Amino acid sequence: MILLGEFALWLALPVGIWGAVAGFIGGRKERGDFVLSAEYCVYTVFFLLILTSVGIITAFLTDSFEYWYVANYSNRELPTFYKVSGLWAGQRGSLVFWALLLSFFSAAAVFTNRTKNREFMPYVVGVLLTISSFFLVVLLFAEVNPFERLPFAPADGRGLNPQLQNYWMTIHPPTLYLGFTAFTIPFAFAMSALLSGKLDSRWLVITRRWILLSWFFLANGIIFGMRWAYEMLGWGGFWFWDPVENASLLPWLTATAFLHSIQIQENRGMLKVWNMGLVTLTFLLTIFATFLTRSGLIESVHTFAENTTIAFIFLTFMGVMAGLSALLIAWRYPALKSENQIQSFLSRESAFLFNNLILLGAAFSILWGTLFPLITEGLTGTAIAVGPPFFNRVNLPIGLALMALMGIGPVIAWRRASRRNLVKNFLMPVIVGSMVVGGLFLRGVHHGMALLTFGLSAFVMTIIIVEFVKGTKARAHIEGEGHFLAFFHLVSRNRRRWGGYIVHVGVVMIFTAFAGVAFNREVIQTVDPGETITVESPFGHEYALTYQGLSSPRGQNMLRQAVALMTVERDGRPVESLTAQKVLYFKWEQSPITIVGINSYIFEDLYLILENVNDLGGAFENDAAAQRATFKVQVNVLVGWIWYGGFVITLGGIIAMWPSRGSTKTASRPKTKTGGERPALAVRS
Amino acid sequence: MKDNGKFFVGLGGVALVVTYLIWTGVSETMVYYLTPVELMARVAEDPTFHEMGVKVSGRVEQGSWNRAEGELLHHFTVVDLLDESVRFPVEYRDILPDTFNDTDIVDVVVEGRFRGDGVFEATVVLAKCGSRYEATPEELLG
Amino acid sequence: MGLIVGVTLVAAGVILFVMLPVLRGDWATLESPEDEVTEVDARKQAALRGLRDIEYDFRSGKIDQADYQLLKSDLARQALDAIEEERAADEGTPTDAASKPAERAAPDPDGDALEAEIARVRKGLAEGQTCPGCGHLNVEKSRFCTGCGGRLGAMATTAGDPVSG
Repeated sequence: MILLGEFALWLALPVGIWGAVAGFIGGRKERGDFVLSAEYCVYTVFFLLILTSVGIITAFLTDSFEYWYVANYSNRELPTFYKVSGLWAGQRGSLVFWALLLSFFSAAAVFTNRTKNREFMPYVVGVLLTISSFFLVVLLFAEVNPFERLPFAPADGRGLNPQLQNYWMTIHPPTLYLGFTAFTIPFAFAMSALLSGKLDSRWLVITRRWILLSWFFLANGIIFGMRWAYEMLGWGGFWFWDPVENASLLPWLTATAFLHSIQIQENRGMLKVWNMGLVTLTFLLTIFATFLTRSGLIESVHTFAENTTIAFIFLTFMGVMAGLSALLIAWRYPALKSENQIQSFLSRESAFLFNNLILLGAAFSILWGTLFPLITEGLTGTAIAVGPPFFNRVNLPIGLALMALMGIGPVIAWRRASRRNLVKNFLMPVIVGSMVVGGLFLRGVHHGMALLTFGLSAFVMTIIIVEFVKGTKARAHIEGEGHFLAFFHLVSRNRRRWGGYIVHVGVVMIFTAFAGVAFNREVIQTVDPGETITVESPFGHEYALTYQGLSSPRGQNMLRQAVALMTVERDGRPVESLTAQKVLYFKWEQSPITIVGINSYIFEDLYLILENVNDLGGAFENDAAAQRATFKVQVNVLVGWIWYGGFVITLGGIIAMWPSRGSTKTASRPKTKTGGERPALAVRS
Repeated sequence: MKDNGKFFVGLGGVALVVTYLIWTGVSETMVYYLTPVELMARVAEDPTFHEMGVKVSGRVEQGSWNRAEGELLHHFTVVDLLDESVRFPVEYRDILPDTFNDTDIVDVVVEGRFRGDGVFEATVVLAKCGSRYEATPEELLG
Repeated sequence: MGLIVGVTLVAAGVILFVMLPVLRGDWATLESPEDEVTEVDARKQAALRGLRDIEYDFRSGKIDQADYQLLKSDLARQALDAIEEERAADEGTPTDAASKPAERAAPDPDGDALEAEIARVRKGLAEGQTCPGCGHLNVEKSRFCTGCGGRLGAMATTAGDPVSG
């Protein structure tokens, strides 16, 4: 099975290359047989990569340590689902995983378009298989073959990095990769539109759902990463402006911009060149994200390994794709002229444009800050770095501007909004926002930026709620429906818009959570069993944590484990106890891992870190005298709103993506058949 | 023509603001990113270097980690990756990352201030296990 | 030995599958006639969406009456143009004797409602019952607009002047 998987990987490359060639030739020469062959290649590559992935997973599950990759990311005692997720645990396997997901989405794109959008498909297939072939070439020729064997099999593997032995390991990377790879589809359609000259909004309409899907997975993947960091890294932080974190944020920012600007193209026929540029940029940024993680070019806790061959290959690929796309856009420039103009600064088009510019500004500044050390080192010989202070400083005003736009956007009309109406519509939300700011100020909140954030948050929420109310009332009036029915129909008849508003609510919640960080409290104390640590939250809650002692069970794959127990009282009443741990995993005996304890309440989290046990060895042996320990107790204000906001974003995204009855364009008509024409999936009838 | 005008005004405005933010952001938060050798060279030639924010990457000297009793205070020594004779002591008053230890080969990045008394007062410590996450075949079979 | 056989079989199977269309002359469809319609359809849908949006925008107080009228007639014209194009394209296709225009339309209830509205507006314009001044749709054969009081039909001027006396 493992050998079959290895063979499948080798076989996939010629199939992919032939399919890419056949797709381009078939499209150019209008040879349906070549195109059909190319589409078969898409399905075949997917099938072969499934075999490859199964082969790798089998190698893990059978403890086949003669494979270098398995030996580095597994050991006998490792729980089964970490052996399965070993597929994406390391550099090599994650490249296979990326290729697998890309081939999956490619197959889905071909399958769902087997009877429509046929003029696009030859070039779409060509582009998709070219990109897939690139990944296969890397896997097979850049010294990153997951099936590389050692001279003989070691007795046991090196084990999995303890920080990856967390259930988020099975959720965060796959979600993120789904987002990255899904975006290749819109890119392929855009290139196909350029190559075939079909430059109206059709490629946007076709790929709308793909773009949303990719954005959706990216957003969730990033939020999962934040949750993982929050739970795992033991500092109570959730974002560190780490280069790899930044790399995943960049395509999300441009994809968000894109989601908005395509509406301008659809409604007003403007920004065609802009959108072509944006889709290319977003795609390049997804490749950049892999590049940054794989090449080790920039130091990060995420980087897998330094491998200059890979860095060079990825850089070349990105350069080639960027150059080709630019050439195509330049070639088609005359046909990409706008059909309309912006009539007024005070219009939704204008607001969307600002949204785009600001999001791209954020992306640029993050890219700049991330690459700055490289740039300065290249230019002056000394590296200069910027860290979280830089990114926070630059992105704070940008975030505030975005919040303001989320409030302005829904209220401002297309084409030309009247100033009088705007003022009328902003009056109440501004009042609500000001009241919130005033109220908080009186209660002792004097942090300027936080106040501004909370005020804007209230402003935006008010506007969105009023939108729903007004929309429901308007519909009830026009259609003569009762309010509940009107609301339901309102949302379901225009899912993109109302789903989008719900997403905005989620984003506002997350920004509000960010502002909460300014109010976090912490206490560091060394205690013996029986002693109590107290900490007070900004909301006035008092927490009393009484240290009970250490116990040492031993979970799976653990060499040693020390669990500290705290009983907790909140405002004098007992609540759920907290545990915090130090764990030594097999194979990683030098690095005890800290596992934190979290009690979540609506407006704050109580966060317990076992910083140090005076006599860890004794504690591991359950020595009653070795119980003294140092703890850090934090109150993390509003952090839960990140996860709640994430749920809201998910809800809004699902509503926006949900297919409506009329959305699968025109119903199929009887097909014109000439000669041997068949639908792409040739069915023998 | 008119629409292009509006568009470019908006673009220009945002570009200006972003440039300003980046410019001031960099100039006020930038830190030199040095190796211990470079750090020592700078300190030798410029006494005021003690006041500046600095980021240094090196390796933890094995066996150099000391933790104060009863308070959250760590001491360890950082050596240069290439020239092991160049080293300096570090003081850190927060929780060290789990990847930090002084028995394995641990690469570390410390950010903070190099004080006048010759001790590096760190505000941020990042640690990465070894020279790579992945072992060579020799290490695996060894 | 068994491995070599297995591998050869897989390779042969894959190559055969992939090259089958070329060997047998099976062609994938390279055109979908409805794609032409889709382009016009996209414009029509955009115009209809716009009409629906301005309806809500007007009732929620985001745009003035004047802007509303202007936009409405502008968008109505765009939608009508697109519908006309669709009808023309459809009637021009020989093999489509069986498919009626009504079937061809996307089953979008909201779109249908708006299409019906467009049809009414057209009819109204043709019979002189949509007031050219305020856009209000009046009962057939009215002489004065119940929205703004202006004259209709044969007596219509431009912006409705109130009836004297």
